Amino acid sequence: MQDQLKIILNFFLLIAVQVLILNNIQLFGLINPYLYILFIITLPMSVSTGVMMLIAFLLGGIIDMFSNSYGMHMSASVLVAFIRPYVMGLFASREDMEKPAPTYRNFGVSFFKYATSLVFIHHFVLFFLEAFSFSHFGVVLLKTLCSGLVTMLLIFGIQTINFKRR
Amino acid sequence: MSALLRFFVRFALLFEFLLLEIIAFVLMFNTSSFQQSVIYKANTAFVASVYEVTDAWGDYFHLSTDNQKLAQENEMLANKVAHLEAKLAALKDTASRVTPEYRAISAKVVYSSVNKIQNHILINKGKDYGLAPDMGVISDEGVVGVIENVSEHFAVVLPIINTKLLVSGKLKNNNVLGSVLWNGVSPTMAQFTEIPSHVEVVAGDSVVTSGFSAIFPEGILIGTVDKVDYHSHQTFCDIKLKLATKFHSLHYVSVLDVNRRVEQQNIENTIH
Repeated sequence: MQDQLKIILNFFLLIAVQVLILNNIQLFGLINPYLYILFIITLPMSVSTGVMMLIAFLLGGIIDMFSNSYGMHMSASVLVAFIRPYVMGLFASREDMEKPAPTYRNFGVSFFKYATSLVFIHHFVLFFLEAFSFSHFGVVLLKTLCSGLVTMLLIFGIQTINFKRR
Repeated sequence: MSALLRFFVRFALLFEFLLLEIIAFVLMFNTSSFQQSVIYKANTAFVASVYEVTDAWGDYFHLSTDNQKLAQENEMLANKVAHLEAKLAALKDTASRVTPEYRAISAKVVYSSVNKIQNHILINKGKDYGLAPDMGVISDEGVVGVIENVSEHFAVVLPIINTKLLVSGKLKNNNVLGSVLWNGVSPTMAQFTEIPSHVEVVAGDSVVTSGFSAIFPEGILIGTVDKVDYHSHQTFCDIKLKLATKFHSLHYVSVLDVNRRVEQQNIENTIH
């Protein structure tokens, strides 16, 4: 029960941080991190992919509402939820998979490989949908790279703090 | 049996995935019809009220710079009044009736983005103040953009820093016409195109609105020339424009309702 409460709190906290702080960040026109996707990345293993996609749909929808971009975050988040098990299979070992949730604490270094893959896929899809043309493809790639790196840096920070606190 | 069941479960997931993606894509591409829906209107009102609250905190941080700007504007307006009064006195005996060229409605920015390829600005006045799509928006620094959409109390502005918008402009000192557009990268820079290579342009030249469309009156500053590249084999030169409006720190804007705007646009539409 306490864990569920924590997850729900996490959900709103990440939305608030994304909408009120990170959406206002703008560096060189290239860096705007989307940290909210960390919620989908670290959802417990007990949540099935079907439910996870519905949660991602809701999460993306809320972020969309605040970003004036209907459907974009929805689409990217649902994709991340859908491919999460496959990406996890690539990097996590069999023992890792039996842990309660995919975090740095449980997975070790392979968590970062797993998270980096999902973050870059998510950012690429998002920036591509935002531009929606191949003529801005260079900008899209550059934005994916720069913003993805900053998002990963934030995730690294949060996960290390959680690791030390417990 | 269990293999069949497992196959079916996997299949169901794929179906769910496709269904959710289709909903997302429909939302993405049907935004115009979606924007007329009840959900959207409720959303806009809710989101705008959240941003209004958080913006209220932000206002305190900008107080000193905003004050300074207002003081400067005050001074400029006072000068203008003095100038106009003198002019009026001179004109009084000719007794000609002059109607103002446009009506300005000031509004506050509740939300703006600068870091996307398609940026938007949300302002706190809408239909209730007579705002309508295709009205021009300016700040005290220069051109901001054009109104894209209005709800009862809010309006969405398409700023220059959105790849969808194209504003016609001209060089102030020789009246050569061109178009201002944005390439999706820096929110302080834009491109000024369609200027023939034989025209002499130097860094620091002002680019202002042409006044040919009914959106902006003539002579409002869009930006200043930052860099010019001439290519000997090309008809046009590449001009980088430093935008006059600082989109990062945009808090107050004015919406321009140009006289006979609708009439001019209607007759323009019969040409092309």
